[in-house]
Amino acid sequence: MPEQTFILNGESVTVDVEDDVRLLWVLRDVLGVTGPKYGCGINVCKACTSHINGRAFNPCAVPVGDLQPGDKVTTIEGLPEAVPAVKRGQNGLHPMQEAWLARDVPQCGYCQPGQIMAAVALVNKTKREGRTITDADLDTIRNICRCGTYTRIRSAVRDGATKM
Amino acid sequence: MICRAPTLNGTAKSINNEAAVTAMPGVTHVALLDFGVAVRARTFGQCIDAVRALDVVWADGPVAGESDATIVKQVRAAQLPMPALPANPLVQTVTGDFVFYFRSNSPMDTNSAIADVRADSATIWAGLKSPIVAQQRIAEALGMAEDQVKVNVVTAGGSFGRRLFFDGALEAARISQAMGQPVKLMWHRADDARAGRAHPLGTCRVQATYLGGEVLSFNQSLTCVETDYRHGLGELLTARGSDLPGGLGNQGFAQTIFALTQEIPYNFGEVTQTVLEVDERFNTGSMRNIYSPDVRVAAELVVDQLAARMKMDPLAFRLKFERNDRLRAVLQKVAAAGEWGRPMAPGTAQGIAIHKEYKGVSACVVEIDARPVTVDRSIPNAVTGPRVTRVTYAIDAGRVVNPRGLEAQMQGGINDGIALALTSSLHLRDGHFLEGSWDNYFYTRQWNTPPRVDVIVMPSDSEQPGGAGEAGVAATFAAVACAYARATGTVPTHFPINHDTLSFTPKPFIPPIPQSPTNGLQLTW
Repeated sequence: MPEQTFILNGESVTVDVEDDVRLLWVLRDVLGVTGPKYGCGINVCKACTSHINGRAFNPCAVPVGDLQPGDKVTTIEGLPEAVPAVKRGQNGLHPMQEAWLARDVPQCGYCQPGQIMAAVALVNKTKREGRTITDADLDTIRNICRCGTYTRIRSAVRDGATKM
Repeated sequence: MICRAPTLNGTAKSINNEAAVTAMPGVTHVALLDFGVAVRARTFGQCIDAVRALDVVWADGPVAGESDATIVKQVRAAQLPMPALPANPLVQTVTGDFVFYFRSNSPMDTNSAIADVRADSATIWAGLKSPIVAQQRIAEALGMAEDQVKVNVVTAGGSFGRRLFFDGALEAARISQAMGQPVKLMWHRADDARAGRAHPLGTCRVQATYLGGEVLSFNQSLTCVETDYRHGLGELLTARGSDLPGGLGNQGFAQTIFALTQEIPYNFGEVTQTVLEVDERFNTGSMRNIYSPDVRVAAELVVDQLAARMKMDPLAFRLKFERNDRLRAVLQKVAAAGEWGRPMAPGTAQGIAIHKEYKGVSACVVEIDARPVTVDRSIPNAVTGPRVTRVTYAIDAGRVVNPRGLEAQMQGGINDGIALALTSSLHLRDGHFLEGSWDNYFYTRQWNTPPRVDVIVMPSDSEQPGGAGEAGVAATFAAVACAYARATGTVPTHFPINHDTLSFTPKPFIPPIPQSPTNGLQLTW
C-alpha cells in the first residue's frame, strides 16, 4: 500500500493508504482527527473546511495522493498554533475561536469547526486584498449551518478580524 | 454505508457482484438486508466506492410512480368539507387554500451509529432522543431480550425532530448482526436527503366570515400526509399503541398534538381548527415546530386579507382583534422596534405575524426585497430569490433562564422560517425525492440570511419558563409569507414559493450516492 506523507498541524505524518482515498477519510478514519466534519462528501456543505498552506480547502475533494510531503494541512485542532502565542486569547485559542466563544456562536456545533476555518480564511483573503470585511464578503461564506447560527457567525467574523 | 434502492423504501433482493465488491480496496464485508446492501470498509471513502460499484436487484418501494402532483391530489380527495357559509347575504367570506410541500429535517450530521452485536448481547452507541424505545425495538429486531441490548446515548448534532427516531441505530444493529462484526454506520448525505425523515406534504384551507367590522367565524383545516409518531412517548407500550393497524393509533397522537398546540388567538367568533392525516408510506416525523409553521402561515395570510377587506393596517387589525394581553404587548414592542409602517420602496415590503405556543408568545416583523435586481442576483450553485433584509422578533417566554440561549434559538428559528417560506423543499418524482445533497436542498444560506436581525426578550414576572427551541419558526415563516404577498401583490398559494422551479439537475439514483470530487486543490482560497 502506498505511503502518504504530509505535514498535519505542524508535524510530519506518514500513513499507509491508497492514493485515491480522499483526505477527509484519511484524517478522520485513519488518523483519528475528527475536527473536519462530514456533511456531504461532494464539497458543497463545507463542514470539512480546513487549510492547506494557509488557504481554505475541503479535504473531502482531495485524493490524499495529491499531497506533497511539504504540504501543510491545518485542521481546527491545529488552528491555535497557526498564530504566534501573543495573538492567542485568554483560552489560548486563535482570535477567531475566542470571538466564537465570546459571542456564544455554536448551537449543535457540528458545522462550527468548518465555519471557523472558513472565517479565518475569509479574513486573511480580505487582508491580502487590503480591505476590511463587508456584508458582501459575509454573503460569500458557503458553509451551511442547519441550526441557523448565521447571525452570530457574521458578528463573530467581524469581531475576530479585528484581533487577527 | 448502505446502498439503497432507487425508489423510496424499496428493498434489496439480491447482489450480482458481491465477490467483486468484497475484493475492492479496503472493503471487508458486504451484506444483503431488506433495506439495502451494507458495505463495511476501512474508510468511509472506500465504502462510497463500493456502494457505487454494487449491482443489486431491487424491488420497488411503496410510493413507486408517485409524485408531488399525485400526492397533492390524494390529500385533496381526503379533505373534509368546510362548514356551510351563513345564509345572511350581508356576511362576507375570505378564503385561503395553500399547499405545503415535503421538507427534509436535514440535520448537518447524517444518521450514524456504532453497533457491536454478539451472539448473546448487543451494544449500541448513537445520538438518540428516545433511547428506551430504541433499545426495545432493536432487541425485537435482533431476537434478543431487552436486557441483552445496551444503548449508549452519545453527543450528536441538531435533530430538528429526526432523532426522535433511531433509524441509523436500528440499521447498524441489524448490519452488525448480519456481518458478525462491530460496525460504524454513517448515512451518506444522499441517503439523508432522499430517505431521511421529512415534514409531510399538506394542504391548509381557511374560511373566515365577517360582517361590517367584526369577524364572525374562522375555520381552518389541515389535511396532510401522516406525521409519524411511532416512537410513542419514548417507550414500547405507547409506541405499540401508536402503531395500531390502519394508522389509527398514529392518528390519535396527531389529533392530540394538534389540539394541544394549535390556537387562533384572535377574537374571531366561532373558531375551529382541524387536522386530518392520510398516507403512511413516507418517512416523516416531527420536524421543528411540527404543525405550527404551516397552520400559522395559512391563518396569518388570511388575517392580512381580512384587514385589507376592512381597510385596516395589518398591525392595527391584529391589535384590535388580539385577545391575549401578552401577545398585544409583543405586537406593540415588535412594531416599534421594527419600525412597522416605515416607507418601503416598490418591490419591498414589511410583514407582521404572531405565534402562541410553548407557554410563550411571540411576534415578528420582517422586511423583504423582492425586486428583480435582488431576486435575480447570480451566485454559483445557489438559489437566491427574494431576500429577507431585516427581521425584528419579540418573544415573551415567561421566566427566562438563559437570555443569550433564547436569543440564539430565535435567530435559528428565523432562518428556518425563511427557508420554509422561500427556498427549501423536497420534490417527489417517480417514487423518489430528487434532492441528493446540500446543493439541491436549499436551506437558508449566508446570501439568504438577513443582514440585520434584532431579537427582543420581553421582561416577564412569570414564574413559569416557556419553551424556546421551536418558538422562532412559525411567526417568522408567516411574517415572510405576508411580506412577500405585500411586496409582490400576489398571495402565494404554495410553499416554499420557489417549489415549481427545479433549481438543480438531479443526481443519479443508480448508483444511489455521488462520488467525491478530486479537484479540491484547484479550489483553494
